[in-house]
Amino acid sequence: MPRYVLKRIAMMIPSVAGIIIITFILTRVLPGDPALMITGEQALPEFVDKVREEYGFNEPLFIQLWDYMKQLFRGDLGFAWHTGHSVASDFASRFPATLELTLASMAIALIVAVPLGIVAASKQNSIVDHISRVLSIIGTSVPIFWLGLLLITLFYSKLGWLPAPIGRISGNINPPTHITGLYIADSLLSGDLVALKSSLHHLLLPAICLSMSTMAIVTKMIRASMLEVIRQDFMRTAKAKGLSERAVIYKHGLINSLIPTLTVIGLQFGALLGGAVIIETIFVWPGIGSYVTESILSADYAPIQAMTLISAVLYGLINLVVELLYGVLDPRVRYE
Amino acid sequence: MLPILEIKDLKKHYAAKTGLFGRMSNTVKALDGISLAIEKGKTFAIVGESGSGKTTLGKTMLRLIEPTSGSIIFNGQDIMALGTESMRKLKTDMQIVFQDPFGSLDPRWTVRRTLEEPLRTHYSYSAETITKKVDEILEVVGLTPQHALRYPYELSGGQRQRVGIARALILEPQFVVFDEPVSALDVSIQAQVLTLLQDLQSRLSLTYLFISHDLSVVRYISDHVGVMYLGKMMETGPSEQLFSNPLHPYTEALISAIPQPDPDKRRERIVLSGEVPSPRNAPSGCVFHTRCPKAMPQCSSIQPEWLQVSENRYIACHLYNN
Repeated sequence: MPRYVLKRIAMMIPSVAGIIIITFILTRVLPGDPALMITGEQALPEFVDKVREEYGFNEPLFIQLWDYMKQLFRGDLGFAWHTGHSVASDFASRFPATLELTLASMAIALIVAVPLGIVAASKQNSIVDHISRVLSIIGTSVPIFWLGLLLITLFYSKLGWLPAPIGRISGNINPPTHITGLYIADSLLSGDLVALKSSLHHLLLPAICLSMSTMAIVTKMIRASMLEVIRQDFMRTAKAKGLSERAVIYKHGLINSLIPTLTVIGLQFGALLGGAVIIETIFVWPGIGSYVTESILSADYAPIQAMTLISAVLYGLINLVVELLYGVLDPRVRYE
Repeated sequence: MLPILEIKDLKKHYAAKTGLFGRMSNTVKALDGISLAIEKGKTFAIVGESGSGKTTLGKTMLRLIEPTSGSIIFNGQDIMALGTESMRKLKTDMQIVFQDPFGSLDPRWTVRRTLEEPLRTHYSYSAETITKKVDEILEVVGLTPQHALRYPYELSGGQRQRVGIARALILEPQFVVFDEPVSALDVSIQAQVLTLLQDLQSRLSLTYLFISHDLSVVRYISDHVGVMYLGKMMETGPSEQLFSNPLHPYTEALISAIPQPDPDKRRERIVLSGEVPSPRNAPSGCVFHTRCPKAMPQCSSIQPEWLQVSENRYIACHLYNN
């Protein structure tokens, strides 16, 4: 198994290299002159030229790419001029926000989707099943930026139940002591109930918005694979053993139908990272998503490239973990 | 001798929706008025073509499928009157071995875990007792404790079916339904498994309901036979009598179709014309009249009654109506 893991990681190298090259080219194709963005539009042309030279923007593309590769090999992700920090330090300070949002969305999605999918499948064509199907269609088809704005209008503007959708915690409350960087975890660990309440309030809407499509897809997947498993002979055998209906579903049905679902959950992490770009912008969430948006708007190449690279590597690793989990769930899976 | 299990006028009807939006509804009579009695320690075989309702009958007897009407009397008790919980407990006395040894075991579970589950579900034995019981039952079906560590996909078809049998027998039931237990196995393995079943029956004094479409197997293993066609019982009788002197034209045709090992032996095959009609659209009167070589005018309009023709033989055919 360690051999398998190493092999899989080695296999990630070509795709990561491809991603580096493609994002490099794509960022250069984007409209906007970075030198002009750095200096400001009113700057003297000589000054703009000087900046262009200093940052190497006047070099041929392949030289720039080569320099970038060399820099990556040194472990340097570059400098984000629009924040004035290195990309690595920006990432370290912003990643926990995105991680918290993504984990919360995944948790919400699974808490709803798994039971809903199971009940929908075990009571096929019942009311619950119909509701689950309608919700799945809504979840996959509603654009999250629209849903986000709608939820803000309702819960903040109209009802006033939730605080202004800005940031991870209300401005007049101190963030919890930094332990993990996740506000919910930190405020629990340090017993800071004021911070916990405020950060939960801020997290709720963006996490629900972001969870919608994952919730819909996982519900559909669990329902479908559960329906398939329910028709299997060993389910009938379990019933013949004298197990109760519940025991049959949970002991034999659920785990067997989790295997295909797991694949989808792994893929959904990628979708969540993508969705975070939109959601973080709407909710002014200080994470990686809004960082990428800011970087694109200021034509700041280094952070765009670095965040794409990191997301790709993360995505690859998550899917590797999913593959290893197959082996835990299914004894027939062997790694070599 | 008192029967251990008796079923009376058992029916299982499915409402089949046909047409656009299922507006037209049609009744499929998977089981239509089946009655039979099984004596303790004997093997009652059910034969019939695909779609005749044999498997439905086997599952309905254990209420794995709920019958539409009729009664099932097991050890003097009508099990149709039992609630979910008592029915669940009754599984310790009534068990079933399924046809497909490949699909009927949970692929994620080792043999040991599969065999332990019925014990854990119904009893609160200690871990040692459970291990001991599993080892014992493995030995009974001709496997070793080493097999218990394996997963179903690591076993051959014959070994898997032995696990299926062990799984059914570990609760020490009195009555076991075998739903085509050997049809998925090679002929050489079939013989081994059949011998095992006979051996177990005499050792543990079990009562079997044996479902099969293979008449040679049925002749070999059964004491009593019931012949089914399109959800109806055509004829029942002691195995020897039924094979040597079939009364119903359908039974006659089936028996004439058994392959003879001796090529020189003269035989007359009764070849039935046509296909088995769709159960959605079962013929009126006697369901067999469309293919019966001895059909009479009343066969297409009047359903034959279930008649006793001799001490142990029952038949549904107008030829024997008085």
